[in-house]
Amino acid sequence: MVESKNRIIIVFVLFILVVFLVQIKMYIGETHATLYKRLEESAVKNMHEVALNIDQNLKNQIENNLFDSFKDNRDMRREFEKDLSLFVTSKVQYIYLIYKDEKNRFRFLADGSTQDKARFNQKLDVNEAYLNIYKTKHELSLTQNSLEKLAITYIHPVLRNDTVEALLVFDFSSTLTSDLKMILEPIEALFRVIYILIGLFIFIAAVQAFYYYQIRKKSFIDILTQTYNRQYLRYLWNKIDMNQYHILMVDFDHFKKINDNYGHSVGDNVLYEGAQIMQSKLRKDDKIFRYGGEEFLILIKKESVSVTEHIANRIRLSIENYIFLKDDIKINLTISIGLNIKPNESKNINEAIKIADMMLYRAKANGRNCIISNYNNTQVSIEDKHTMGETIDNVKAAIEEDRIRCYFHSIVDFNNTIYKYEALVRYVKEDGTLVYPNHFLADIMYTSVYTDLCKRIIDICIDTVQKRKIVISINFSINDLLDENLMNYFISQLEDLGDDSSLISIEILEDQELLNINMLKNVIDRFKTYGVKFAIDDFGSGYANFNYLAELNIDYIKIDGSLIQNVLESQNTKHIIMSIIKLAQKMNMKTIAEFVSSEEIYEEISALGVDYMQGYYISKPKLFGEA
Amino acid sequence: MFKFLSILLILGSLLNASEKEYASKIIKNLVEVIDKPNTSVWIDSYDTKVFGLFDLAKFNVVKSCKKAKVMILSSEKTIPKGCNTKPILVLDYELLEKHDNAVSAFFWKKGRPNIVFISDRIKHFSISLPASYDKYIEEKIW
Repeated sequence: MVESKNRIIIVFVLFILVVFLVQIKMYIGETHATLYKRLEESAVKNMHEVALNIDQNLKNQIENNLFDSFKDNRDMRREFEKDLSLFVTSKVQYIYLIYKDEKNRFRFLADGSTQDKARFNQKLDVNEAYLNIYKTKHELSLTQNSLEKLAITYIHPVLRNDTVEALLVFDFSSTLTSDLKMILEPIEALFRVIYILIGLFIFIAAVQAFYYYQIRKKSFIDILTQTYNRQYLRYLWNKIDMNQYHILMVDFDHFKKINDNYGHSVGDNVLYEGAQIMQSKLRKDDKIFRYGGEEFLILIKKESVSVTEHIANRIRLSIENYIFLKDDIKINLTISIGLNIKPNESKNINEAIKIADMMLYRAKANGRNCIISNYNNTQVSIEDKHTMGETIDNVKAAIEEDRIRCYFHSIVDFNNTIYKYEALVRYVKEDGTLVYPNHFLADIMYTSVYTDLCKRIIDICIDTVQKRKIVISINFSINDLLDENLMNYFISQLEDLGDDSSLISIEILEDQELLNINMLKNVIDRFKTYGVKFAIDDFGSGYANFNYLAELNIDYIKIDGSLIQNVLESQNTKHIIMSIIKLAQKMNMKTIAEFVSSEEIYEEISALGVDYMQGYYISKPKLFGEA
Repeated sequence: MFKFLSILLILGSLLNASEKEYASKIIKNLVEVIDKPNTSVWIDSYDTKVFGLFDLAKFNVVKSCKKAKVMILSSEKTIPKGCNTKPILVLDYELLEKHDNAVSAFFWKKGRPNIVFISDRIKHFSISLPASYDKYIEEKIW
């Protein structure tokens, strides 16, 4: 938009210059023509007066027919030719008297020229214009464009009794125009210099414009992905009309693993190919920017919400179905897309992008490889984003200032003996109030602060095990377990723990879909070598499925709290719990019932044969020292 | 730069050649009406006057006047023996008087191209001129 406006201005300026140049050229041409014409008129005017004098003199001297007089009286003719020759100059090359014979051919009566003298009555081939003078009886001046030696011919009719008897001809030599050329030369030279300077200016302007656009274009292109970069987005920041676009924020799912597992060169290649694929699915008026890392921002020219969603899905599917190849490595990738279809409701493009980013965050939280838009979510506002930003800052500060706390919730057997503790994280605000994970965990997910928090929790738990020699269970999501860096850190801490590492237990949170069960299996097996035990949390809800039990080396099934809470009201729930317990027994696993919040539930669950229980009826989570 | 200079030279020579081209066409036409198209011609001189006047390359020039059907004379030189019966085109009005076989003349008079055919000489050589040439036929040399 802005570029095309600038282009129009430059083209317009160049056009004006070219018009100016043409005008100058035309003006020079017109000046020439005018000067030539005036010179011609001046020469003719002079000769007109001379011709009148010669004519009068001729009439005074010769009363009879001119042909007969000159034919019969050679001396008279020579005398007349002598008179004529007085007017021959370097400019007036020939002066002669001709007449028209009965066959309309012109013949010399007298020739005053000093050069190329004609004989009496010799024929002279001339054009039709000479004949016309016999009709018009008017003088005539001819510009001799076709003759090299002559510039102008002035013809004066010699009338006798109102009849043209002869023509007095003055031929001006071409030196007349060469003199004019000489006079005009300095002016022409000046015009030529102006002409060249303007031409040079246009050329330089055109070259500069070309290079300016080349350089600017390069500065706006991301070298790796060949898409527009953030600098170009910033350039458009205040110029773009947000009513014209929908905003897509695109992020490659688990891209960090590509770099970690295959190296950055493969990661770069994947980014380039991915960007090219996305670019190929866009229309001419859409724009794609590399927003940062593996994140891309796409401006979709607004047609309708369905068209934008269709394009977004087309991009998502094209990435999902594409196999990235690097040597023999085949890589499948997905993307998550946040879509802001109401950018015009934002104060500026920055806020509109933040909302698209928030939608992207939700797409990530929703399991990835999907598109989340704010189409039906009219309440989405930038305030949410601000809150999230604040939360991240608060947690970060809490980690740095050692305000992260692990509360330990006891898990007991049917004898009410504490079997182990589940570590539950909180952080202490600066004013001393406690913040629970449901208030901050979602906000910091997918940020480096989340990883730092996990490491802090590991440190606290390892430290507690070392000091108290108790079994502690730590919750990890599937993504956490597949995060190689985080798990490497955990393993290094376990190694420091020595034999006490068997006192660590991991609860796998089933809030995410497991896409690669083999990878998780490998992780579990690795931890098993340190004696770590595994439990599936919230079994019976979420993404939990029986296949996990078959494939993974699990020690405990933690029955979902919602089932436990419902056990008194629903016979079906009771049957589900019974079947889970039976299944666990068959597979040599122990069962844990959480959310045991009353004596009635405690009694009922105990009767069903669950191995361990946890809940507020038994105890509340406490810091060690408080318990 | 070389191409540019070459184009300038060609254009310059073309401009200078315009009058020469014009004369060449007229002389070629005259030779054709005196004899026939592409007939053999002999030229008395190869001096700068002739070269400057018309383009020889447009004519079927023969070295011996005996083999020529038409002779072109630019000067008063004596006609070689055995050739004095052939029609002559002269390049000067005055030469019409010098050579009895000069049937036609082409020359520049007052900066204008002029053509003359002498009536009795064209009859002598049984030359039939197209009607458009009538205006150039003269009964006598003035």
